[in-house]
Amino acid sequence: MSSYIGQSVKRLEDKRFLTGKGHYTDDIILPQQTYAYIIRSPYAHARIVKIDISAAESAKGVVAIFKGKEIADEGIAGVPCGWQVDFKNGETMKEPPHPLLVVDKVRHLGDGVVVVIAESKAEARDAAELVEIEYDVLEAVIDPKKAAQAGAPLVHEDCPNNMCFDWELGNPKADVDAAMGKAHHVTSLEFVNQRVIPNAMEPRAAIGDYQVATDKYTLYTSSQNPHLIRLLMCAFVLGIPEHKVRVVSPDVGGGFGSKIFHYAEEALMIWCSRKLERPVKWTSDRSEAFLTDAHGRDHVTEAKMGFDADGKIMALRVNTYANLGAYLSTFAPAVPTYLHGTLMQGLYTTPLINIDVTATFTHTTAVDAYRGAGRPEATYLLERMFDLAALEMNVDPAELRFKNFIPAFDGVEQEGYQTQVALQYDSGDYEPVLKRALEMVGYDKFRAEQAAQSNGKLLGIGFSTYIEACGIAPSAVVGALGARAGLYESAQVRVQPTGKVSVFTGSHSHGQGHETTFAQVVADKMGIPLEDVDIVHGDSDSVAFGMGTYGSRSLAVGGSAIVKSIEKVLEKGAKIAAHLLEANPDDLDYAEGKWTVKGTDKSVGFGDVSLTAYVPHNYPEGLEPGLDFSSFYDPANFTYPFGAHIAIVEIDKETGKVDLKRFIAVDDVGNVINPMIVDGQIHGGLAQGIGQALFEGAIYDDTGQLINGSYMDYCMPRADDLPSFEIDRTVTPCPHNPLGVKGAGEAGCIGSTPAVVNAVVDALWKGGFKVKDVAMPMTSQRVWTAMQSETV
Amino acid sequence: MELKGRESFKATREQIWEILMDTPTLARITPGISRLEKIGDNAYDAIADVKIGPVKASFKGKLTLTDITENDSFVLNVTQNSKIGNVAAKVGLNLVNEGLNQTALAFEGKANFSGTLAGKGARILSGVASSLTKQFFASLAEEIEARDFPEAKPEITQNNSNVNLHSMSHEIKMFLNGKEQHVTVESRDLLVDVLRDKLRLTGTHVGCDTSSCGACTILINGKAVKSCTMLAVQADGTTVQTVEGLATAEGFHPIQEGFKEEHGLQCGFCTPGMMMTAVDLLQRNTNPSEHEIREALEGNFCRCTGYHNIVRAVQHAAAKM
Amino acid sequence: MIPSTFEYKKASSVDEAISLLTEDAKLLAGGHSLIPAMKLRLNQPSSLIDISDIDALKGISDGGDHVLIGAAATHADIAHSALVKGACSMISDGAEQIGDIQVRNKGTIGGSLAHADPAADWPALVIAADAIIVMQGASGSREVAAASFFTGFYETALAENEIITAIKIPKLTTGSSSTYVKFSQPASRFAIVGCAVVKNMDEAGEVGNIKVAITGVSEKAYRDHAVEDELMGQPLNQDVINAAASKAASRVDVMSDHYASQEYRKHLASVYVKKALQNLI
Repeated sequence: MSSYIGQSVKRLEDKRFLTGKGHYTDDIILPQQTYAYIIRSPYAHARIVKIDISAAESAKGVVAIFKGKEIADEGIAGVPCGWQVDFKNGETMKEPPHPLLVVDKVRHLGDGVVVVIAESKAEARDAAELVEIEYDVLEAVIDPKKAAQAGAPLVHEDCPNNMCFDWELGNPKADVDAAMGKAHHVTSLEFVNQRVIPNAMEPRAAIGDYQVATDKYTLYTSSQNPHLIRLLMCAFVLGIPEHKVRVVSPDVGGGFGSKIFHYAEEALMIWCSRKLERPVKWTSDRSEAFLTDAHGRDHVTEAKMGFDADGKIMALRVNTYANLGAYLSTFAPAVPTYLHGTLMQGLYTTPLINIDVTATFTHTTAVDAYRGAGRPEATYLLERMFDLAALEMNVDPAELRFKNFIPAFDGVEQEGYQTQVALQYDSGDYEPVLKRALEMVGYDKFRAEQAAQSNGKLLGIGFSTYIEACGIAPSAVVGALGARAGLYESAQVRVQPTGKVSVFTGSHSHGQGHETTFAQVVADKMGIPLEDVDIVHGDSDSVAFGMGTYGSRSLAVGGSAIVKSIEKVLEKGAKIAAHLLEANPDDLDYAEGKWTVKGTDKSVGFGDVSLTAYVPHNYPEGLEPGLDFSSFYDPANFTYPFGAHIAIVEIDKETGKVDLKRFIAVDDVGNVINPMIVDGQIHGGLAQGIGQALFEGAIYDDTGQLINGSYMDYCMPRADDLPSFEIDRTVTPCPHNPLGVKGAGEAGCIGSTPAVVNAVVDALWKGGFKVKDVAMPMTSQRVWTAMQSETV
Repeated sequence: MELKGRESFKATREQIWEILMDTPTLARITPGISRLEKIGDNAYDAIADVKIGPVKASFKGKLTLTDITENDSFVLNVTQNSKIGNVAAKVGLNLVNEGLNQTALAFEGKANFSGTLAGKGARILSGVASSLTKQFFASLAEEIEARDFPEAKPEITQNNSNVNLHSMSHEIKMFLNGKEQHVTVESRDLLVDVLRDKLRLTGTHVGCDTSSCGACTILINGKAVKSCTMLAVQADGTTVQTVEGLATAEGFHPIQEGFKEEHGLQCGFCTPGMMMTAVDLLQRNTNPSEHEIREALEGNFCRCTGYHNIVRAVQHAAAKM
Repeated sequence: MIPSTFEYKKASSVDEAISLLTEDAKLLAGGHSLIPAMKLRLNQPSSLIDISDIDALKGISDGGDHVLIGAAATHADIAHSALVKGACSMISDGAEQIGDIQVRNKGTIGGSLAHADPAADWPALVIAADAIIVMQGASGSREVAAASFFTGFYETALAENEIITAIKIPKLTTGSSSTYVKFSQPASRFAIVGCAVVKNMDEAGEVGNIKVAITGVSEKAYRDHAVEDELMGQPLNQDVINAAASKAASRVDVMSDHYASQEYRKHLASVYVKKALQNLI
């Protein structure tokens, strides 16, 4: 039996997707199903004066029409937040209700007002046209910094200055400022890490199905996180018994964070279904997705980085305003704080760090975790500061990094690295990733090529060396930091009597390839053929529990839970085998699917042991029949993948258009189970990170209208916008989980964005333009405008 | 959106003021206005039928004039609502004496748009504003030339936006994935909805509502088209191939093979459309370069793969075909 | 996304289509301008008249001194036509730059011209080519020069009850050449600036005749006479090109949006006029 771990096994889930047999939520049509259309606010901020549904009620096919008041009258306040961050003074963060449909006031463009349910999609849509809603339009605030200023329009009357919380982490400000005062050089930068819209290709969908005969509810939803949705919806929204609720996330067409959260539409469909005693389905249009899927990023930041004469960082001071949108989404408070502030150490030995975050409400769509969640913002800040400092101090940006890297530590022989911002890194060896990337790019020759460039274009190179905290996360730690849930994972390994293995995991797969990677782990550890393993996920009736897929946690946490269950299976198997072999369990070796008595050729196969477990005629005394184990794995620490990314761009001097010529990524995600899948994760992350740098960004006007709310105006990266990527990896195993893995889902997205911006600034600066920053997305117009400024 | 403009007319300030303050005339020369009714001293109820390019809608609302200085200036406040979005505008108008019998009408203000119009119409809004302004200025110039103000009232056209619930249905016939398929569809049914909901071929997906993402791509008579931008009734008499028709009894189509071997898919949502477009490409170009492949796939979005392995998947298929 | 209800009628001849063209009806050919607007309910016609299957509107044929393109020819038909390429290469190159494969397979030249999107490619191409738009109404057929066809923002010379039946593209004569270059809006891929040029050099090696048409810049595609005036009678060298390009969009109102301000768009017009002319040296 060959080893599966480390092999680029072709994906087991592909066949259904390649033949059109994938099974996404919108593909489901249940008997008696009705269709919901949600009428949404055309304004960012308005009082609802009147809702007239009379004409719509009598329209053809209409089953029911509900307004927010009917839901509120049942005492349902809305969807909750799963993370609490308190004010610096200890007060609890402001947590205004997020109703399923609003009652008297809309707070962002797209806020749900009325739901129309009809026999068909078309009839629901037609009837919605007949609903008349009168609004009294109010002034809106969009910018997170302006929101905190006196006199700004309030999103929630009981949240003064629109503040949700303020927060601080690191060394005392006085110490940081004192060091900054002594610095040889201080680099300062004010910038916006712009709001991006996740745009998973499958728009969200939800079907609520209440069966009166059994008093059972089923929610089909395009979620990364079915069990958590069930918990939140049952316990905190609708007050229905959890054991009567099944949540199914079938195939899900990408998430990137946006499908982690418990959305109002999920609870709304269940509520409507209970009212009507019929299934109710809602499928988001893309237009609706732009307005209602939680957005990402949106930080307004000022930062200062002080260096000594040798180029060693002395201090870092950061001040960020984080836009939370109109309501608190599930994990929103954690993103600008514990997933952002805690990453300010980067890969560097910075001795003094202080970060201050003010999180505000605005009249915009809620902001929450989007691929990387906080870590891309932290990396963007550090890596922009680094290349800018190098430019200002006229030193090589790669050299400046080598000078500041934390020395290698493996977390076993050497202790983990204690940062100034709470985290302790598990293991790291940072120089090799940058060295390898420099080698791949041919850096020794690049600067000469750049200087010799003569085709009327500006050539630039940009660097980014990043670290991220993944494998989210040790429950006690995150609990102390405000998480209202544990972040362990569960896994059940059920050996069938014939020796085939079903694995039930709480880690949902929506593109990550768990059905293959997890099967590789199981087949490898159990010494059985890959085709004897089946991975089951996404159904709360079959999987015991799960905390979902996000934060590059599936293999590090979910995979570790599987390993724990495998160990239990093999331990019990050994007892059965020992009985059959008339030996002591301690005298057995397990390899290639059989137990062998050490030093003999006496052995018994996994299949025979499995069958014996279920047909226990000749069986160890006192041992329970069956071979089926569940485990929960709670990680000891976060994992800390890292890497070095290099972008090479060419700028057309006449138009300002940026052409990404090459992108080199060397990542260290710990041990790798399936290199093909890991590479694919990196590629996708790179495209999203590059997308933020060059193409994507929500544009709200000052009344709160999203003026690029469709693919005609919101620029998604397309095939011809990107080059093929050049990637490689180093391997520094994680010392604290059984597989030694660190997680690969977010790396590409975290490292790439600043590399591209740095490359553009490098091209401009070396091209003779006195440009230190270009706002993202770096559209041709922005770059051209930058070139109209002063020359060096 | 900022609004600003200025145009000169051969008239006195008083003459232009007279035109602007005369309700029926103003209604007639203002583009799109189908009804303008005075409801107060300086307030009007207005209905405007706007038809510009892809947009056709009826707007209802109020116009009010404030800060009036006779023969000189006023501020026009507009709120207009429609099913496709709402407009709120505040514009200061100024008559500037430019000489004997020569007056400029200058305006400056701001308009805010909301709803679908704001989100989807960004590209055309500034064009609409400048076009409407031009039409207005042209009509005003004509009016000044005519010098006498006709009594005729503006035409009132009925707003036909009432939903007509009678939709003709059509029995259509397609040669779908190798078999003759009859199905009854309504006029307005999109082909993608008929495939998914009526024929239950759910491999073809809907990823957007602007014909941009390509998730719904199928082959009609062998050519890749977006089935979200085609009425089902238009498929009558055609040969239709969806992702479900790619594989044969012998196994995967080379493009399916390519996507599997090169890991060209992750979540699988864009994959069917991506493959169908690639098939169209490979029919015409059996050995495409990376550049040609990337260009051919510009109408298909993938959010998972960064396209890297999709390019390799198509190359793999090309080598096999 | 579901359009409002409407009646669908399939016309089998141009005359039948014209007879069905009532006030609130819309013609459906490729549907790539109309159906997206109907899905968003930005337009709710009461009936659609499908003209995509009328034989008389299909096909591309040789008309002697011109190529006759049926109004229902798709962008892809035109892009792949050897006849068109031989007659005026800019037309096939331009057709290849419209939308994406799927859009080109379905969208038609007639539909695009009638729609007259100010950022579409066809308007610049037909104006520079000096094409004739052939239209038919109840009272018969008429021909309008492309340069006079586009009358305003999404407005054309096409009357409410008329149908575009064909487009006549003159074949380039000896000594003539053509080109189309485009700077796309990155999301929609419509033109921020599209510049089509047909030029003819006289015996002295100077520009004898030139048509420079620009789309995406103003409320409608237009011939940029300011550029042409600089070029007439001049040799086509870099200095002449630079001087001419600097005049681009100087006589029109330039549009502005979040991807291209007035200033930037005007600048791009100059750059793309220059690129186009350089292609023809």
